[in-house]
Amino acid sequence: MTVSVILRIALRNLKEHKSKSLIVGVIIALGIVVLFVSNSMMNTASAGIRKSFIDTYTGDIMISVKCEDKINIFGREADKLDPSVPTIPEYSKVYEYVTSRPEVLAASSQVTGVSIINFEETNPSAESDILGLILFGIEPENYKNVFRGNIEILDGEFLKSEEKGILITESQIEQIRDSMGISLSAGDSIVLSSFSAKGFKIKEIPIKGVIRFKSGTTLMDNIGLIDVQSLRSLTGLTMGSGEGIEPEKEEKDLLSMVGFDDLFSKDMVERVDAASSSDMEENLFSILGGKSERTGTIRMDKGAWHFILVRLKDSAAPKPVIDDLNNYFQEQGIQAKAVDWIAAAGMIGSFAYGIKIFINIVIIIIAFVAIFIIMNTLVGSVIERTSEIGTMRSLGAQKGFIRTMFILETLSIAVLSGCVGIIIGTAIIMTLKLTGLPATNIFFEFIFGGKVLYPELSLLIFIQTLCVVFLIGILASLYPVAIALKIQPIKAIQTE
Amino acid sequence: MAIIELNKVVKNYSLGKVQVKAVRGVEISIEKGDFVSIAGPSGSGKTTILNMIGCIDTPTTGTVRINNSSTGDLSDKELTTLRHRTLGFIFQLFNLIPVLNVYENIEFPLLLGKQKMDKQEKKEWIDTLIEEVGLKEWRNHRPNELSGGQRQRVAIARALVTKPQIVLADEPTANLDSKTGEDIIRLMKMINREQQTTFVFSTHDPDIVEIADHIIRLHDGLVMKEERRGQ
Repeated sequence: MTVSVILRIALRNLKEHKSKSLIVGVIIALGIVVLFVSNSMMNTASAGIRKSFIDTYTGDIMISVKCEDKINIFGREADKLDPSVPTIPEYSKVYEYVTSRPEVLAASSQVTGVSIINFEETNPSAESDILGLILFGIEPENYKNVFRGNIEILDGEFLKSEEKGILITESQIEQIRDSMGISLSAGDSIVLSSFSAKGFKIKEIPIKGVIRFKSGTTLMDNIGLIDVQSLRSLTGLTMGSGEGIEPEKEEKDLLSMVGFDDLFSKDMVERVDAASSSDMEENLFSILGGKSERTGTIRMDKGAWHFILVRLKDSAAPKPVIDDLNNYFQEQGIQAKAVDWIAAAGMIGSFAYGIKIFINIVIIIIAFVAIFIIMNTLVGSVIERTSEIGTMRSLGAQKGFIRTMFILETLSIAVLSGCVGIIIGTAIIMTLKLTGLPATNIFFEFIFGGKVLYPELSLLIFIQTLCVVFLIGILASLYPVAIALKIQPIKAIQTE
Repeated sequence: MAIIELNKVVKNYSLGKVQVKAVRGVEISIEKGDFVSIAGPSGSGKTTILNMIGCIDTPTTGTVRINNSSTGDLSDKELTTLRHRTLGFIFQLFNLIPVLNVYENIEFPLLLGKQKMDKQEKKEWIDTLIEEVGLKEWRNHRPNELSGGQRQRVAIARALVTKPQIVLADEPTANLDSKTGEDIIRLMKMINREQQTTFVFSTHDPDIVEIADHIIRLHDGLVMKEERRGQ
């Protein structure tokens, strides 16, 4: 049997039933436009999210201490702020093994902490005199190797090894200027305050540079890069505080009383004279009294690191390396674990992916609704053509002929409308690629993986969409075909 | 030898809770090349008998044999093949495929089978049939552009295109005026003579009945009288 003849009949039937074909065609075309555009956008966004996280603060793999709570690059995932992330045990051994792996391009160790910049002294009249900061304590050279090219220096210079200082973002500078009327630039100093299980610490830090993260979301605006020793001092990572030591229950309870918002509230900061001193830490300890305590406290643990962030030569294949590292840790009895960037990004990464999954589910639901509507319309068409089908069967058409005819008919309309949908979708994506789609809020920033989305056309999306078109055509024809096949030849006589 | 045989054929239908006895033990034998008219009033079982001969309906009891093979023993696929190879159908309502033109409608049965006819040979054969039924000028017209008589002529050509041994026509003149109806029957008769094709048609028009060589008169699902002319 010539397929061309069946196709001819199918196409003429579509033309004959213009209104039905138009309804079905419009539904398919609209569905395909939504599918094509959203898939293209999500595909670009997905790469953007991945790139912004990996390039900006997680690397391909993050190694941290292994503990009951989930740990991400910002700390423990808990209801209340708990900055007491234990440091990586046997750090030197872990670091040495990680960097010996041939797949590893670069590795950088990091301490994470939270702090506030207090301007109460500098500008008492300002409405808001504190600013919250997420601090990444880094070793500058290694950090540059891992996150090379993603940091743009706008003022000053990058941190140097063994040098005290902080790099803050241009948006922090703008925020400070706008809300407090204070103009900061490289060379100025800021006063940082941090609260940890070891108590409250205040430290004056020179601003070494003003930076901009080339990729990343607004969240990145709250990150400051600081020399690790200063952060260890601020977060109380002194000798004996690391190596996976868990805080006591009472300490945890005390910490759990403090929420993330509370930390940056005015009430949490007790004004002390030390802030005005040029060497506040020394003054603070002299205020606190006993020198023996001070001596012990200021001996920073140079092996105390919360994370090792790893950049791979092949970013696309982190799993075998993660498995290898975790096997090594297990064999060596080291309480450390390696995770991918999604786990490292914590709730933010999961949220971005959760949104993507949600959108995909919505698309699937839309596709099923479309299939249902198309199916219903086609069932109507089959019933309307009962006599024609019966006649064909009487004249000797096998069931296979009827099946092929209806599948080809549905596929014809699906492919034709699908192509129209793809053309419209391509036009939309090309327009958006030129104009860019700005993320109007942080929610969209997470979804887009940046502040502006420039969706890209992809051959894979074309192929996927065509497959979906075929799938819709086949699925939508299944039930109508089943009905058509039940039509007996005698219906040719019984039906007008 | 009989090309069509009905032995003690009974056909009952369920109409809601009521059992309708459409055919009550009919015995019919039709020879090859016969021009048969099944006559009778409405509800006498004419269409039911034609449907069973045409393998589009099955008897409740009894056997229908076409070319000595019992239709009750055949699968759906085999019955479809039998219909395609051996039988041609002319329907009361013409049943042309609306999206195909005259030529394509006639060609349609040729596209269904496995046996291939040479393209040129096929074209010539279809054109011959079109000419024979007098529709040369209407070759590329769709059914909705034709009159009832013209449509029935297309149906006749379509029924003959596979060169079937038997052509079944269920009240082929019912929707035509008497002049056109008579023309159609005469056309069928001419083809019967020329090609020795067995024609079985049902009608309740007494004038049309008389044209047949073999008349089977039905009443209430039973054969009341069987006449063979020229014998």
